[in-house]
Amino acid sequence: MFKNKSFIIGIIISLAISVVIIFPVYWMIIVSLKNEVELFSNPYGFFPKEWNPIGYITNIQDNKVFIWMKNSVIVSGFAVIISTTVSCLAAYALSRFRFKFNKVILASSISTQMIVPAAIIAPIYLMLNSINMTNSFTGLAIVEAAFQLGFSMNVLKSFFDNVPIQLDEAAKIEGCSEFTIFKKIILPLSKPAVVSVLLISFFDIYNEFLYSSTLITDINKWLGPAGIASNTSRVGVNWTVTLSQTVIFSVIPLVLYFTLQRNIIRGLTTGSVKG
Amino acid sequence: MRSAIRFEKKKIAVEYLSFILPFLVIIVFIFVYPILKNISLSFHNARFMEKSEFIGFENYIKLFNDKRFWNSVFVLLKYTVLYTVGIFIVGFVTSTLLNSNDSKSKSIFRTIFVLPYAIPDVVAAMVFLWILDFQFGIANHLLIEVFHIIDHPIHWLGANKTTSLLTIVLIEIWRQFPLHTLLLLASMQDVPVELYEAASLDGAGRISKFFKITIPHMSKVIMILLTLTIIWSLRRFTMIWLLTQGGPDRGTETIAIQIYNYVFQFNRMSYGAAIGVVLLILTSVLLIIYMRLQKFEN
Repeated sequence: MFKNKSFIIGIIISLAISVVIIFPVYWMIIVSLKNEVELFSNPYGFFPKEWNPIGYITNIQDNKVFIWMKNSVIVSGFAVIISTTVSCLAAYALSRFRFKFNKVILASSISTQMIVPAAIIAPIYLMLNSINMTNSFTGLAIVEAAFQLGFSMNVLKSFFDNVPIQLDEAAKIEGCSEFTIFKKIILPLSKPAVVSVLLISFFDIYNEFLYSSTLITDINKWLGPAGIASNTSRVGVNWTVTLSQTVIFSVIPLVLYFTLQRNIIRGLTTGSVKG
Repeated sequence: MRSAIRFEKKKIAVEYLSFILPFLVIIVFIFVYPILKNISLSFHNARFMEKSEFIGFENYIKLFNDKRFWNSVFVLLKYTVLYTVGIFIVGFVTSTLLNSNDSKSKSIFRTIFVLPYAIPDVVAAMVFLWILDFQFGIANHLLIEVFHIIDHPIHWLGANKTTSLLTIVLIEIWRQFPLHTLLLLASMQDVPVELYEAASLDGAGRISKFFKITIPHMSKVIMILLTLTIIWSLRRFTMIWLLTQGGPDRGTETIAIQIYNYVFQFNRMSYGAAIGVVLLILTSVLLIIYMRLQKFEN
């Protein structure tokens, strides 16, 4: 039954780490279910004395958090489609064509992954401002997509490289064009990689705060991160309302994580270090 | 015949171009042009909605005499060292735990260990602000009443520079470590089992196996991940901004936070751009190291 001592010690340490990881999430849910009075009269209770969904009711009546979340989903969805399509095409070119220019593409894909977003925010803001694209979801989505391109392309290229080139050659003899080969052979075979890339980019953009809060200044167009962060800008934060907002906002990434964990983990492990 | 080959070559080049063109267009508009514009801004005295003049190196001269700038360099340095060391320790502990776990609980622990990856920064920041609240936060309560580690509540954020920086780094590690766990785990699993078996026959213990077999085998991945971690730590903005906004007394104002402050809070866009250029140069140096290491691996 008991394998050995070190196995048990390993399990105990794993459990301790699990507590540290899960506790903040647990605490967020518990606090979101305490009412304003109990929040201060019973701040340390591991369960609410009285389960009270007042925070959620306030948010539903107010509706703001759902609008923010909808905006986040629109921008992230749009950006993810742009970045995945564009990086699929580029990854195919890098994987199947032999041009010296490939090196330039590869170098720029690595550099853009490393660039500090804050370092170029002033010129990007000015550029979008000059073409009236601040406060525009399209403008923001293109910027967000750009920051995903490098990572996505690396993951996809390493997958495309593993599709045997004999398949392309056979298709070429049949008279297929490069685009048909890309669409009919490479893409279907790389579905898992495409799913990974879509998911990881979505997580990143849904989470992104710096650009989404500076390029969108119109309060009615706020995305989730800017909206939720605005709770702390006034004196006396209403924690019940704030933390029920964070629970609501986390639902999408958590559901995606628990249902598609394998794809996410695969993408993260192939994309980052191999480059 | 020769012209037919040339035609074929041209056709291939056009096809190639059509695949990479969208990528190039986005890179040029969102990265190349802004970087050039940023360099040009840094030689002007631009503010929002105002005309600007060329002022040469004035911003840079000011910058190198600016105590506030050097403070942010120093803060970023402390932040990077603490963050990198911390995240590698947590990454090694968690990946070793998963790697040595051969029971069914392995996949459950992996799901839990990677969970923070699915929690958005803004969510983590809000939750930790309440957990670390001076008066009503559970952190102080647990440390005083339950574990008896401290006598008086701690101002985790916003009172003491060092405490605030440490707190931010710990929260950042909580949020970011899953990637390190996964990457180190993947690399650990690549170590050939035969090596461990041979070492066991020679009577090597767990710890000596870890340092004499596992670590040397992972050294290239570790070096690359180390460079990446340092580069990533330069990029971090959100958590610091949401937790302290660079305070108290600029104790957590990293370079990224400072650029944001100059550009959007104080309307000194060109000065912010000059700091941006310095940061871009710093990143390029790290990038060259990274690319060297990558080539080494291939």
